[in-house]
Amino acid sequence: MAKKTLYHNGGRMWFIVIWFILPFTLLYSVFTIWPVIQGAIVSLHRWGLMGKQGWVGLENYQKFLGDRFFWQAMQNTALFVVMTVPLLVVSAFFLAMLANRPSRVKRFLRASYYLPSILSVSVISFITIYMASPYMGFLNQLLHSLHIIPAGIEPMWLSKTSLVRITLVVTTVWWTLGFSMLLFLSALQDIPEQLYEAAKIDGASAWRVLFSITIPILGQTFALVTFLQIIASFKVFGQIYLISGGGPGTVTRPIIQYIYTTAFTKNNLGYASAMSYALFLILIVFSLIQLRIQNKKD
Amino acid sequence: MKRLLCVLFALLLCSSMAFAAGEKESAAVKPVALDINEDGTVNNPEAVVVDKDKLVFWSLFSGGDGGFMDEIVSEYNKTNPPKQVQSIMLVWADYYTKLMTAVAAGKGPDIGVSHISKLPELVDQGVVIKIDDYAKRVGTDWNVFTPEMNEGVTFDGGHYAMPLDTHAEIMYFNRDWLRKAGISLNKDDQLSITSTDDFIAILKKLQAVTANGQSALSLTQKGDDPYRVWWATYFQMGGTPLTNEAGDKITMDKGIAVKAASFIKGLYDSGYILSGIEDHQRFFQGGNAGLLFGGTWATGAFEKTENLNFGAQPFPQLFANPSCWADAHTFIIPVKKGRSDADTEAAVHFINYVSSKAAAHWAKSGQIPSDLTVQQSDEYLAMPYRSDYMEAASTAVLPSKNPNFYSMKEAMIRNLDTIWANQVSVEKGIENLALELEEAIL
Repeated sequence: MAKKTLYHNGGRMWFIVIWFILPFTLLYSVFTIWPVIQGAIVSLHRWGLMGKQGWVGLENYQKFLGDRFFWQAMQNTALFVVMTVPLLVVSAFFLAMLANRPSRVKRFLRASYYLPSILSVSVISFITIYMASPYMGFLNQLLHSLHIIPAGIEPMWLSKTSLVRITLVVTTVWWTLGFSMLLFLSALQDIPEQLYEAAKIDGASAWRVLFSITIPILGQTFALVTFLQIIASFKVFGQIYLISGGGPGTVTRPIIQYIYTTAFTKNNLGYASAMSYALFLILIVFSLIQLRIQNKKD
Repeated sequence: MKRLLCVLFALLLCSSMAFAAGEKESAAVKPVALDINEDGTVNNPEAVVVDKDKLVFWSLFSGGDGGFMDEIVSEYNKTNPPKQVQSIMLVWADYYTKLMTAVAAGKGPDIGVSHISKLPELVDQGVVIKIDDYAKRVGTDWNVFTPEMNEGVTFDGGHYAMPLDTHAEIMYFNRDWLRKAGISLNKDDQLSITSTDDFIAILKKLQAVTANGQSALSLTQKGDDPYRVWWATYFQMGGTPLTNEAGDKITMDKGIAVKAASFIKGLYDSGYILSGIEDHQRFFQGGNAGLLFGGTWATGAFEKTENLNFGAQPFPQLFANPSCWADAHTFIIPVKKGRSDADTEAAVHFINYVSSKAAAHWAKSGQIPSDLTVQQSDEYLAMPYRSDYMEAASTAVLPSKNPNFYSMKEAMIRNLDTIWANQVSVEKGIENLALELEEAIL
């Protein structure tokens, strides 16, 4: 009955529908769609703080192809992605498995694994700086008092290149695994109990259950989490900027920081826009791969 | 019934949006609260209610300097000028960010201040106007400024700023310390230093009378001041300009840069400089050091300090050239749509007044006035200390005239800091520095 009414009063229904979607559509167009178009326009000009300064066509795009600092930033970002994503996926899965075990503190565990995600980037950055500081920081003091490192050695978690990278990756994983963990958790809970019971009857060991049942079933989720994290890791900026400033020198500088300083310190908005479109292209490729995998699902 | 509820709900949503918009409008009519700091500097200058009949001047001078500039502004207003000037003091740290964004938004002031090192960027970004026509109308004589100053404010054959002063990094000495260490002054009442040997000898003698928590030479271990000493040393050793004329290539002499940095690192390592000094000017002011490498602006503060028997002289010539670091303050007229020709002329009239007639008054702050006639006047020469270091203005190597200079400076300071902090070797630090300089001018 209701369906008939819907089609017969098509015009009336649309009139109401439009009013509901109008506010969001308006805001979305102005604050999301328009900047994308405007950004493309800016990237084709020489654009300063005071506005347009002249048409340069595709010059900005040619510029970053030959800009070794752009490629260095890309390399840093790619390295960060390669170091972070596997660790993140494995940790999130592991914690989801832990959080799925029947236990009296199950709810507490789930909440506490997720908790770091609700903190802002500034907070976790300063926590990291505080913990990882040489001499007075918690980490080094702990390592010294447990005699894991001799008293004379002071690992520079925040200023030695190899160590800074580790600090940044660990901080990021600790901060963001909450969301991935939740994805794994809900997928784990969808696995029918009968499968585990059947495996138990057949006498399968825990490891076999894990590798022959759990992980294959979670294949889609693994792919989803991996690609979401790849995309998110490419867009890293906040914690690296606050913890290491992209340093020492420029060895940990991510591409977004390079775009940011080009735009707002050197007032070269045109070039920065062109570079951000390059990044956009890369992210689109990964997003498309992810969508294709999603569509091939159950 | 359900449909009616749907329609009502939709209407409610839309009308609540309208209400929200209305709220915002009425809020805009109410005056915005001013965010003023303890020392009188304003954090949101664009919100200051300005008298329509007055010119707005955003001053980046605070503290002692700010006091002198305020005096000058009120004196100017008493001379029955074409237009009165209202001065707003800004926090120095983000002055340029605020200035540039305000001008871009059309809410900028009528008169501003710019370091000569920042001027190329402001001109390149279209933030300031050419003032030649107006300067001619108010009778400016550009020849009272040195050729270097004129060159520094000239772009495309026109003047874009009016020089006010030069402020250099000079050397101060504590007379009581010198007496204790048995160091005597020459007939000009200055320390006679013509080589590094002289300098090190003096430092050694001072070090001998240094107690715990004191220092022979007062200098911070990071930031602007070691960078300025490196700058002076680099050019004294014969270093080439950092960039070429066109500003698209780095021409820094890496070898000399390494030698200069090594020399300064040596001063830290030999213990002549106490490590970890946070505010080296205040440290010297407290009588805790024999020598200070500091800015000319410290003179005003030191004069008022009791029990500080000090003297001042230009940065010592330790190597081939007598170079030192300096920057300069200039007045600028920001772009402002809708400002009348008469108002712009009145603004230029003000800056011309300060640079010429009020220059001697401004010299009380310790800076060296750019107007040569003032530099040579009896009034200025009679001031204590100032004539002892005024030649610094002529030996100074001004910052590169490059729109990206502030990026360059930031890269230099950051990398030099890693050298002073022993995080990298001197060679590696200068390598990194040169690389980042190349990026800065990209």
